Amino acid sequence: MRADMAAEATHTDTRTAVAGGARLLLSGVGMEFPQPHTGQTLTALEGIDLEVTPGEFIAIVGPSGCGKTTLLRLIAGMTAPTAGTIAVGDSTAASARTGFVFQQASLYPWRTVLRNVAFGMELRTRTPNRHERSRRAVRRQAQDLIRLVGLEGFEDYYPHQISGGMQQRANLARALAIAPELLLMDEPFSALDAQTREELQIELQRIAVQTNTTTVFVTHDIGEAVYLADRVVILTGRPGQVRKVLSCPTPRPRPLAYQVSDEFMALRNAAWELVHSN
Amino acid sequence: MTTSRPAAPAPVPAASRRTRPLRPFGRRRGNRVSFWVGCASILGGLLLWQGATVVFHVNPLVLASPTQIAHAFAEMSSGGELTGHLTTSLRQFAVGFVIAGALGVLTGLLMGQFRYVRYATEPWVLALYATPSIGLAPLFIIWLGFGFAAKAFIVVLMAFFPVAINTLSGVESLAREWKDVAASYKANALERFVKVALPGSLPYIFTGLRLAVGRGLVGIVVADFFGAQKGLGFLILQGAQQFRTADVFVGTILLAALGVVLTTFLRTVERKVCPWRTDAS
Ligand SMILES: Nc1ncnc2c1ncn2[C@@H]1O[C@H](COP(=O)(O)OP(=O)(O)OP(=O)(O)O)[C@@H](O)[C@H]1O
Ligand SMILES: [Mg+2]
Repeated sequence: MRADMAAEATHTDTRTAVAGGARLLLSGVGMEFPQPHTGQTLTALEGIDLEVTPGEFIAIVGPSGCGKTTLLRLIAGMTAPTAGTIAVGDSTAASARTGFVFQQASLYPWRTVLRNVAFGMELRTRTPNRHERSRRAVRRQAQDLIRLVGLEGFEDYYPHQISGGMQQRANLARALAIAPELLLMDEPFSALDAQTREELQIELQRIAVQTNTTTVFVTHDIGEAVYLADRVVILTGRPGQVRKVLSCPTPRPRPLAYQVSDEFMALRNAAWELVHSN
Repeated sequence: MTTSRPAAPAPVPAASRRTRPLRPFGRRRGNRVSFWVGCASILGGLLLWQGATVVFHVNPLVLASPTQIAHAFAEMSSGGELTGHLTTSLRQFAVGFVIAGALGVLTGLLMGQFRYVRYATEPWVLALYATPSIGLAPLFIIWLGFGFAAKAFIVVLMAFFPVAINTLSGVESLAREWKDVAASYKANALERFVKVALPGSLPYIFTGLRLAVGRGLVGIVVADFFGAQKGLGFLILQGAQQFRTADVFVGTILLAALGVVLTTFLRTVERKVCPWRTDAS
């Protein structure tokens, strides 16, 4: 997808061409929060070591409150870890090109779908070249992404005018619009009904394979993790530490029928045991 | 997806043809009913008023009847006198209001976005908002004279605080996710300011502006009380001093009308500027 988009749009568009996943390297990452009132600290994450290869799809599961969201925020460079280092490709978490899909409706209600998708591209940090930041250039690229996630025809809708599933498609398009080296998703489908979720899981697989973006996907749903990911990282309860990493060898994208295969069942049961054996 | 791009357009989902959702019909009709009932109510009130002044032989020096007010209105507007008062007041108000609006929005946004700006300005803003600063009007007239500058300044003083304070609560009420998105895309301070804080607090800003209209109009009138040759406040004061109660009412009604017109205008602007809100609820 990236390749032929670049081939067709060779004129100004170099950013899409350089897209592709970066390597993500976490070494000894830990996070402590000062506790309100007590003056003590709460250790949310401890000694996380993880290497994600370019283009790999990683799922993270673990009990509630074990620090999954915190880990994503650290990788996104929104907060600095209190211990360890995070490298994305050749850069640090704070400067890497990261797309983030949040769980909740995080689209800007005052922007149409198209302008929401364009948000990242309009930013100076993402698009240093003024001309590429122009309304028209941004619009053209946003339209490509909207087509990619199957939202054509809804460009001029406001978020409240589209369904939850479509909102998450738009969120995904917004994250992909900056041609991220790394795509982070925090329980993106948890608020959707089962059918829409299935649909979006299939779309996400297709897009992830096409764009070859390195993806870190947080979920509560162990089946979803095994279905989507090359490797499933299981965290322990607070403080979050890596308990185990399971590999799911079947190549992606996987058909829905994968979910009734023996491999899937075995992996899901193993992961379930690991998550629940605290 | 691997085929070339200018392929046949994908089938457009049926829903996209009605880009704007239809307005609920009942609401529109409800608006019309409320409009006519409101008109009838006002008309009834005027009739009662007129009736009372006739039945009880009220002295027009104490209370003018609606017809006397209408008469005074016609007289003054045909002589061009009324237009003079109105434009004088409007000009003072417009300049003051625009300055207050711009400064108020900027101050509120800065206070909301930058902690130290807030720490430094909040005590001033809260204290001055609570102060009945209109009482200081004579002071500004001493400083700035009886002319335009003092009047506009008093409007600024009255209208600034509701705008600033509402803008600040707008920034405070920004959804956490909106800020998170900007942070995860590494937006810089200016971008967060212009692309998130400002549009996200627009609904609050408009509430502040609407409140400011009322306060600004009070400012205009009171400023005129402390010395003016023209203006709606002057008209009211002069009417009272000469026991021409009809004039007092003409001035007051014009002010009320001005308030309604300006508020309605602001609503229209808000609907244009915030199209996502009009059909939200
Ligand atoms: N900004 C913060 N300040 C203080 N404590 C925090 C902060 N953010 C997270 N925590 C704490 O860190 C821990 C991990 O939180 P986090 O949101 O990362 O969990 P999670 O695994 O995403 O949970 P869930 O599965 O419910 O989404 C929690 O105990 C939380 O209270
Ligand atoms: Mg979470």
